[in-house]
Parts: sequence; structure tokens; C-alpha cells
Amino acid sequence: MTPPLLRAEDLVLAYDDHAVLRGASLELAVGARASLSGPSGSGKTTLLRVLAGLERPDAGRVLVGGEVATDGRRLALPPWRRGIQLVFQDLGLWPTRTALQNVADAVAAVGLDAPRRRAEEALSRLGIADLAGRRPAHLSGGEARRLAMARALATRPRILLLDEPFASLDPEARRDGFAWLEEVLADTEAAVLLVTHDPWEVERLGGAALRLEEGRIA
Amino acid sequence: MRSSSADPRPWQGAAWLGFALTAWLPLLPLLGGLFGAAVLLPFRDARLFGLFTRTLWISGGAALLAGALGLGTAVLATRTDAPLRRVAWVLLPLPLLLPPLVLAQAWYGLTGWTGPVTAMAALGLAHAPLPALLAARSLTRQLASAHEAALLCGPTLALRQMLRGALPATALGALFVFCLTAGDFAVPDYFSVQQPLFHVWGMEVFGHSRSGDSIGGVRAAAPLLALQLAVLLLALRLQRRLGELEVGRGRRPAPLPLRGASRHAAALALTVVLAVLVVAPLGRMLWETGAAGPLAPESWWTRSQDSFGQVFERARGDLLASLGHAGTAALLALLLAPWLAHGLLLLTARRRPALRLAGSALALASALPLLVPSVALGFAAIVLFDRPALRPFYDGPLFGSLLLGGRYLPIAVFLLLERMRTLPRSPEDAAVLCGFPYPRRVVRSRLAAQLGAVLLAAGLVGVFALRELDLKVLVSSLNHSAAVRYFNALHFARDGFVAAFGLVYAALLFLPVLLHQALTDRDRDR
Repeated sequence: MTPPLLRAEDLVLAYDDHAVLRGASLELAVGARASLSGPSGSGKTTLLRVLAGLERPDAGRVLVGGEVATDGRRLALPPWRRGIQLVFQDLGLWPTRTALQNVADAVAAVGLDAPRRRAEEALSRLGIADLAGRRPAHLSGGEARRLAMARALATRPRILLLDEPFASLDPEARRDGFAWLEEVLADTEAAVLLVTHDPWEVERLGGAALRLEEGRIA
Repeated sequence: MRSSSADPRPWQGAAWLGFALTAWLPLLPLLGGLFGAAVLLPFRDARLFGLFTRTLWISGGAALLAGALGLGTAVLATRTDAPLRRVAWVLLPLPLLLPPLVLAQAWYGLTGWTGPVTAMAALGLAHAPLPALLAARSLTRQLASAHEAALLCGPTLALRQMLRGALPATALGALFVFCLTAGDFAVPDYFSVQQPLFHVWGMEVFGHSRSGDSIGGVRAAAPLLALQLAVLLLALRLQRRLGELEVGRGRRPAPLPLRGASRHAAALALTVVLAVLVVAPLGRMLWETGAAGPLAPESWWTRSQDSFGQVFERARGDLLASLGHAGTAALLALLLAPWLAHGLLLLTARRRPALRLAGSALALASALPLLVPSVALGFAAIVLFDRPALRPFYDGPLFGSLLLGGRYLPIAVFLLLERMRTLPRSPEDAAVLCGFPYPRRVVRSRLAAQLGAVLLAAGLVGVFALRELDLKVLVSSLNHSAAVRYFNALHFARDGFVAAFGLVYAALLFLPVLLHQALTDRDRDR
């Protein structure tokens, strides 16, 4: 039987005396779609960071493609060997690089050929090809979101984690944003885990609707 | 209705008057030199030109060395999980707080090297923490997720992004190192005394004290001052670049996990940095406290104890006088810096461009007392205050302390300004709406949450006042101090007393900072 692409087992994590994750477990199959919701401060972002290898849990394991990536506080696979990309809430764009360089740098770093061509294609797919020479500070909020998505997708990740990509937008902009996200995701084979508060987005994305409550996945 | 005590202007006026009297007024005589022919002194003859170019390459080399060491250390200490990074973080400020002369004597003892290249290296090592601390501060203010996005793509890209992020702040630090070392006379003078003889511009300025020609000293300082102003303008350009980079919210990013050979290499690099900057010079001094020939009758331990005993016997008065100067300077900072910082905050946050520009100009002018070479400030203060009518004040205990306080006040102002900027504006707006008197409003909304920073700011002014040497050698009421006794003792002898004195002096300077580092680190880990 093929193991799940991503598997989290009984993750436990506490900051000081405050337990954030208390045995959270989840599975994501190849090409799957899943949404993760939960109250504010319930640990959704922390869970994504643990899956990506950016945070070490106190206990529990993360397996990627059947291989142990995190085992308690031990990082068996560094973040860049997991084939995971994360679109951060604040996007995490590199301020001194242009839009094209933001994407091309990432493509080159993961070892894909022709980074510049791939970067141009990614920008074009997200409809921001004409902004290639601009730095992030000179992009609008929506344009910067597209750039962050282009950077993540251009590296051809196996797993794409999206941390409330439209959280700060008004309802209309969220709908627009989600429309282009759906278009882009239709072309990718990556498994997608979307953190969102919006029931409408949960329904539109389809797949498993996970809920994080009191540190566990319901 | 808004109560009249809510008006910040009287408080601000009083604070800026205090700053003008203690920090700007002593600089006045230097302005004359800046706009006169004295600026062109280096081009008057071949000797002066050679002196000036030697000063340039010694300071330039020191800045490059400090920048290179600082960049690597900042990246390893803040963005990786390298072993020893916490130790490095706590010990790193130490060389910066020590008088460079203390470190220079230790390096001479260790290597026996002299000459201008050694002076350059000693100055570079003594100031290396400045670019390191600025770069580390800049990295912690950048977007954590930008670093993590690079981390998801690979270690090479993460490293490249770290260097890109740290480079502008490192360059800014290196420029400050250039400014600080270009005016230093004590370190080149020390190596020059050990032969071969060589001179730098700071020594040319200081030389006027031997003939009592203070006006000549002020004139001779003009080229250094012009050079430092030019460097300051360059620094301002870099500061703007930093503004574009530092858009983070203070969250600590995931560190670059180092494994295998890279982990060993990082540990080795931090060990070398700590050894070179801290352990080797201080270790050498400790050894010197009890060093003697193999036939000496007592043990090293007994001789070392005797050296430390001598320090407290012979130099107690100087140490206490220095603490008095430092305490007064710190008190001045405690009284003025919060209001000055808040004034700059109010001005630079204004919507009208003209007022914002005025705020920036005022901030620039506020930095000047810190950047002027100490020897130049010393001569300027003598020219201005050494007059029959002002004699009681000039010879009194307060004059020197105020001079030191005014010189280092900008450190406290800029530190508090930066901390105040990190706080949200709404608590102060709420206090305005409630009609709080101005002082209460500032204390409640800005200072109460930053009490540690206020104490650190005042403490740093005290530490730098304690560390100052050049100014204390020139101004007679400051001669009775630990720094000057150390300077004199070092030039007359090289014995256990000098080494023990240097170590006591170092401990006195570093203890408050060590305490602060340990406390803030504990808070951060909580």
C-alpha cells in the first residue's frame, strides 16, 4: 500500500506552559486537497510550521513520502529536503529582489534548470509578467500575493501549504483571490493544505475539511 | 478641554535646551574650523598629506576588518543553530566597551608586533562588535518569513539571503568604525612608542596639547571633522536602504539547521572569533597580572593577587572619580533622553513633509556630538570654557561629567527612539484623549513598557563615559580618572599592576551590560 505523502502523528508542542498542539495528527495523500480551520490562536500556523520543518515539536513525528522528517525535537529532514512550500500570511517576499528574481532565486535553489524561463512562465501564469522588474515594496497587496504564490508553485513542490492567503482582504477581494487560486491549483499536482477561517473557501476547495480544536485535529 | 499641562512644548523646550547646552555648545568652536582654510590642511605639505593618507588607510582597513568579522558573526549568531552562538551573543559587546588601548596592550603582549598595520588590526578587532551588533539587530528586524521562505528552498539561498539582509547594516557599522578610528590617537601612539615611530592625524591634533595651543588643536581637527561629516552622509543613504529591509515584526525566524561539516565549521568560526576578540587579549592580561621570571620567589597566584591588591590601593580614588563622572553622565541621560527621543518621534512621524524633514535634520544634528573625535571635542571645550570668568565651573567636578554626558547622550536618545517606534501609537492617543499631562502620557504609554531600555540607555552612557580616554587626557578636571591613570601607567611601565588595572577596568565596564544581556536573554527564552 502506498504511504500517504504527508503524515503527522501525535504532534505535541507547548510554548512555556501553554500547550498549542496536544496530539495533532493528519494525513495528506498525493494530489489531495484539504482545508484546516479553527479558532484564532488554536495553533494552525504552528502546525503548518511543524509540517514544513520550521518548528520542532516536543513530541510526535512528521513523515514525508513515508520517510521520517521530524521525530520529536530531532529534525531528520531539513526544511528544504521535504518538497514543501509554504505561502506565509505575510508572504515572506525578499525585499531586495525583483519579482522575477524572487521566483528565479527559489527555482535555482531547488535545483531546477532554466530558472529565469520558469520564473517568467510562473509570473505570466499568475498574470503579473509585466511586474517582473518591480521589487515587493512597489507591488499592491494583491500583486504581492500572486508573486508569493508564483514563487511557491514555480519550485514544483510536492506539498503546498497555504496560511490564510487572503486573510487581510475584504470579502469581494477574497472571492477574486480565491478564483485565481483555484485556476492555478487546477494545474498543479501538489497536495494542498489551506488554512482558512472562511466556510465558503472550505467548501470551494473541496477535499477533507479538518478542524483544529484544543490542539487536536477533529 | 485640553489642559495646558498636556502641551508638550515646555517640556520639549527644556529638554532640547539641556541638550544644546551639554552636547551642541561645546562643538561650536569646531564649526569655525570647518568653514575655514583649515579643512585643506592635509594638502599644505607632503608630511601632512602622508599623515592624512596613513590615517585613511588605517581607519579604512580597521573598518573592513571589523565589517568582515562582524558580518559573519552576526549571521552565525542570529540565523543559525551553530553551537556557541548564545555565548558569542553575550560576550560580543565586550571589546566594544573596553578602551581600545587596553586591547592594544594585550595584543602587543601576545604578539610583540608593532607598526601601523598592527594598529589597524588592533583597532579593527576592538571595534568588530559594532558592525556585528548592527547587522544582528537589522536581521532580527527583517521579515522572519522571508528568511524561512529561503530556508524551504535550500541552505545556499538562505545563506545568500542572510548576507544580502545583513550587508547594509554591516556597511553602516563599518562606516561608524571608520569615523571612530580616524580620530583615535591613543592606539597608534601606543604602537608608535614601541617603535618604529609613525604618526596619524589624531596624534597631530593631540600634539597641540603639549604646547597648550588649543586653538591650533581645533584647527587641526577640521579635516577629520569634514571627513566624518562626509561619511555620515553616506551612512544616511544606507540608513534609508535599511528602512526598506526592516519591515518585520520582531518574530524570531527558524534558524538554518547546520549538520555535519558545516556545524563543525560554524562552531570553529565562532570559537576563533571569541578567542580573537575576547579570550586571547583578556587571557593574556590575566596572565600578565602574575607574570615574572622563572626565578621569581612567589607563585603566579600570589603575584597576581598582589597586583589586584595594588589596583585597589593605588587607583581606588581614580576608579571612584570615574564612577562619579559616569554616574552623573548616566543621570543626565536618564533625565533628558526620554523626552528628546519622544520629541524626535513626534517630529519624524508628522504628516507635513517640511516637519518630517526638520525632524530628520534634528536627528542628524543630534548624532554629531557622538561622531566628533574626542580630541577635537576636548580642544573645543577648552577654547570655549577655559576662561577666567568660567574658571570655577571649568575646574569643578560637574564640567567634565556634563561634557561626557553630552557627548554620549545621543546613544541613549537613539536607543530609546528606536524602542519607542516599536510600540503602537494608540495607547498614547488614548492618553491624549483623556487629557493626561504630557509627562504622565509619555511615561504611561511609552516608558513604562520600556523601563529596561531606559535603564540600559542611561547605563550605556555611563559605560561609554567610563571608557572615554582622549577627552579625559585633555580636559584637566577629568585627568583624575581610571582611564588616564591606565594611560599613564601603561606608558611608564608594563607590569602586573597595569594588567590587573586593565582587567578591573574591563570588569567595571562590562558587568552592567552582561547583567542586562543575561536578563533579556532569560526573558526571551521564557
